[in-house]
Amino acid sequence: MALSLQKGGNISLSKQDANLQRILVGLGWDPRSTDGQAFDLDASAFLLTASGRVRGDQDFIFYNQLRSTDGSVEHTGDNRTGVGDGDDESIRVDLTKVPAEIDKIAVTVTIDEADARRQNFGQVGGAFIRILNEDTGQELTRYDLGEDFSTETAVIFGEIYRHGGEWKFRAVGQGFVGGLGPMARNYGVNV
Amino acid sequence: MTALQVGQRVPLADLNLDPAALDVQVHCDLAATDVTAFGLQDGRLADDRYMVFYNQPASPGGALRLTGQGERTDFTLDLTALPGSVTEVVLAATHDSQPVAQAHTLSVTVGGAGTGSASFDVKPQLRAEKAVMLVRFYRHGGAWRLATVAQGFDGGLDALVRHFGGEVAAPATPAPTMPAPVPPAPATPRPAPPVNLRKERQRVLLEKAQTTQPHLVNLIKTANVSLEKRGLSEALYRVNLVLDISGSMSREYRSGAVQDLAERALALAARLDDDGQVDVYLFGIKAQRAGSLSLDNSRGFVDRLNVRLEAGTHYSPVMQLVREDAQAAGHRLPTLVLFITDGGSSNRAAVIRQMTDSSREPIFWKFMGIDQGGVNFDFLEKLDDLRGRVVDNADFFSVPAPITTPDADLFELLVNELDTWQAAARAARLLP
Repeated sequence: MALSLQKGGNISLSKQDANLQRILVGLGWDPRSTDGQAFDLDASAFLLTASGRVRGDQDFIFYNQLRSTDGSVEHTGDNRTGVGDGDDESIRVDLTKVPAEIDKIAVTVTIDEADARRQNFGQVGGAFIRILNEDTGQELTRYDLGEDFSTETAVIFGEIYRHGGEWKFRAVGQGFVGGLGPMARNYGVNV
Repeated sequence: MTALQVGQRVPLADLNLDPAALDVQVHCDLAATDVTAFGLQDGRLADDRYMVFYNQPASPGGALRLTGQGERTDFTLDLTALPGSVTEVVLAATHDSQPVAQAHTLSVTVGGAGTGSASFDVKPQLRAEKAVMLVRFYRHGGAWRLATVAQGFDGGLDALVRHFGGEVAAPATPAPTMPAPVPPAPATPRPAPPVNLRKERQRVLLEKAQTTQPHLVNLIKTANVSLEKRGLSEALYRVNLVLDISGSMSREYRSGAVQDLAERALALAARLDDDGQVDVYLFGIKAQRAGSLSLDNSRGFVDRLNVRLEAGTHYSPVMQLVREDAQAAGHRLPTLVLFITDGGSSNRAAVIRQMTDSSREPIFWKFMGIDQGGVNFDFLEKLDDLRGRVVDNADFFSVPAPITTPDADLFELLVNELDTWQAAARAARLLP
């Protein structure tokens, strides 16, 4: 049974599974059930150094740049509507390939054209992030965001980070004003 | 007053609102918009009694109450009095024919005596929805929260009810109650009914009722529920009201019961009749036309008739008059006759002939007996089951005097069998 996290909670992935090498970060949300423009949610990953910033634009993994140059992080592609069971988007991370200078991988979700469509996360239901051992398919941990956001249009769902030789995961659930652009700039990406 | 944004989720406590005493006001200036409070279990409409609207203004125990209607719809909510099975309450605005966005104003205010208050402007969020969820109150971690929604369905109330997992009554597929002696007509396609025009007329009549006679609005809507159940929401009829003026009816005229019945006939006509009028006939010994009842003259209509009661009850002359007028109108539309009496007729053979002859005409007779006690309605019962007719063209029911039958039940009785007659009349080619 995977351990469910609350907002702010963390868990040692390495302790959950001593042989852990590659993980799959699954993200999901309920599709829009009412009439109107679908919620097009985009997952992104930022490879961050100890300073909390990217080394360069190549560390911003999103729908237009699906793989990091070292191959450690790979975005599996965009799902435009959230339709389908299980994960709507997923990001593969080969922990063994993550460069030593990368301290943390932040996984974020933003709503495409949120302002034009008058959409925000308060309207999105059933959002979650979960971490699986990609080699065994076993779910290691899961965080249901439920009530943890409201009118934000960008949310940091979670972070995978190094801690004393282990990999850990933190349920962040923190909203961010402004969407993907400002969020990327905040992490030091030139957009 | 806190202005809420769309998508906001906030504990009621943070707004200084009391879940046990909430006053909710929905402001909407689009006429004929209905506001409903849906008590749901995990997003599903599990118990219809927690659907509070004009036709059911309070949930069991009164936890959800509709307290005012009009451009401002008021609810008082005691969320703490709801059973645990009701996990959320969604307020929704719906319109039968127009997008709710046609409103210039659509907003929600939540407050209470001596508490804080919050408002949510829904209007800027609207698209083409004919049903829109406005706000929801929901349980979370032992406390109640408020979320703003402003999403809905272009398909209107039906789509919303389906969203809540409820079932929408399909138009009834009526079966004839008796085999028609004429072979059924081949299934030739009929020209599509002028649906939009029909809806438009109904809307105009409802709006007119809203501005001139608001007390009729709920009657019209209640009448519509009974018609919709039978797949008759688009049906077109001439509506006739035939009133007994025999001496024994005196108490019913004095008490206003006849006026009440006339208003119910008018409510049916507002849905069924193309001009929303009811042609009125009086009968005792003789028969007479008594003009047309409409939204313009319904107030005090029966009083103005200055009815002089007569010392006898003869159905046949007034039935003849009704048939002649239907004939003169070219039977362009079928005629629904609401025939109200408190006793049996003299010259029954003539009445039976009227019934049998008119079974070839597109006329349906609905006899309503007012039971003063001790009156024998055997004759009317017999009319209901009379043999030798092309189709079964009549139904009879009785209610005890004074009439206390709830409107929803009364409309059920008034339109009962109209659908089966219509199907049988079509099969017998009395109707196109």
